Amino acid sequence: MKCREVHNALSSLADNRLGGPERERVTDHLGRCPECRLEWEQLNRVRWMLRSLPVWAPPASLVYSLRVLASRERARMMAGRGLQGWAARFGRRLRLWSDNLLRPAALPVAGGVLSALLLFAVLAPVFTRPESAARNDVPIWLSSEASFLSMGPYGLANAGEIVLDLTVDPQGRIVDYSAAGDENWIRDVRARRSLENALLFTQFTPGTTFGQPAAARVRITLRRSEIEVRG
Amino acid sequence: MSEHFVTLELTAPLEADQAAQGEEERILLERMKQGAEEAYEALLARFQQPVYNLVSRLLQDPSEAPDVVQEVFLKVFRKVGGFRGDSSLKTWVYRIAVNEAHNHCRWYRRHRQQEVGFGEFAPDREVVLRSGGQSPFETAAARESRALVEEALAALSPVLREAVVLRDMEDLSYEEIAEILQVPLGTVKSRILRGREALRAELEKRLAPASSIRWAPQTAE
Repeated sequence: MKCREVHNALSSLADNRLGGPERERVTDHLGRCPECRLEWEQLNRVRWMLRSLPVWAPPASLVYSLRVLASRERARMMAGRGLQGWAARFGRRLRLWSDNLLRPAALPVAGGVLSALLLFAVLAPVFTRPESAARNDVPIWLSSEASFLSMGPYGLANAGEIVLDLTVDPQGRIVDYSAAGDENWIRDVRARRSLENALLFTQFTPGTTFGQPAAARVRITLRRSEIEVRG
Repeated sequence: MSEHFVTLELTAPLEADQAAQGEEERILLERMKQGAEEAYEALLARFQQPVYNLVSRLLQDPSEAPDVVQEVFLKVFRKVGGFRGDSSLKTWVYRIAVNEAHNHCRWYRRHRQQEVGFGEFAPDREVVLRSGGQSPFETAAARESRALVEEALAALSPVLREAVVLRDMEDLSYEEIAEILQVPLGTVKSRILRGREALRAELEKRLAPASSIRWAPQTAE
């Protein structure tokens, strides 16, 4: 028998797991081979050292915890008996099953929904057509000036050009005026009266602020126009 | 020459003993399934110490053993209702313990190995068997020798360590070990052989005198 074969058989020999003839051959070899005998002695020494290692006892805290655990598990098992226990156990399993099923999907689904909402909020204004404004729409985000609508049936007595600053009320009527240019004509009572008569019947489209009629100041220029008919 | 070949094998339990043990286990399991308090206590009294010892030897960090042992018994209590008795109770409990130790080792490698502690803490262990009547020198030598074996054992790969521990420390048969580890008998034999060989080599290396120290005897002047 070769040393290599004996080497492989030593562990089995130590555990008394070799059959009679093989055991004989190995022990015979050990009697003749000092190297294998040394190995055999070392193996037995190792086994002896392992067996002589101290046995560790569980700490007192663990012993106590195990007793508590045993008591709790026993109570749990007893509570799980009967129809009520079966129903409770079934409910727990169902909850656990649904949790296990839904929990992995919860985060991706929530993320997907939030992303979709965010994308919709960002992109929706881009794809929608702006609503066309109505023809009679009033711009509400600006103030608009009062504009001239009609003048009274009275003519002006004065000649030349008159520049006036008018204050127009929310109903489109002139409530005040002042001369902005040459003021010589104002001393002429007849001219002033004819101007005031003309202004009294002059109508304006009132100015607006945020869509509501409001008082406004307007500068107008009046020029005398004369049509001469000859012949 | 034959005196050199005395093996350390303990005598196998008699068949009658095995039958009595099987009957005892059957009654214990039956009582546990009925919810008898003393059956739970009997199971703890029988297995808490060997399971703790086994788990401590299999873990990289034995201070984690109490947590793993609690997990083991939690599984034992919860699964005892479904235990059909195909194997012995001892084998079944040990299989759960080995699997839990495996799981914990995997978790340990992934999470705790990178942690850096403030220092080494000696685990809170109590030794059951103490040798009496030794001189202080013998006690110190025995302690040193034990520490060497513990270190060599810890240096083994987990697969070999569990086979050696189950065979040489827990004194289980090859068949029981195969059942616990869920591997063929040949694999058990091979693991035990390789484990013992690795342990022998490791101890030889540790016990070899340091080559850097040389005594140089000189005559006194």
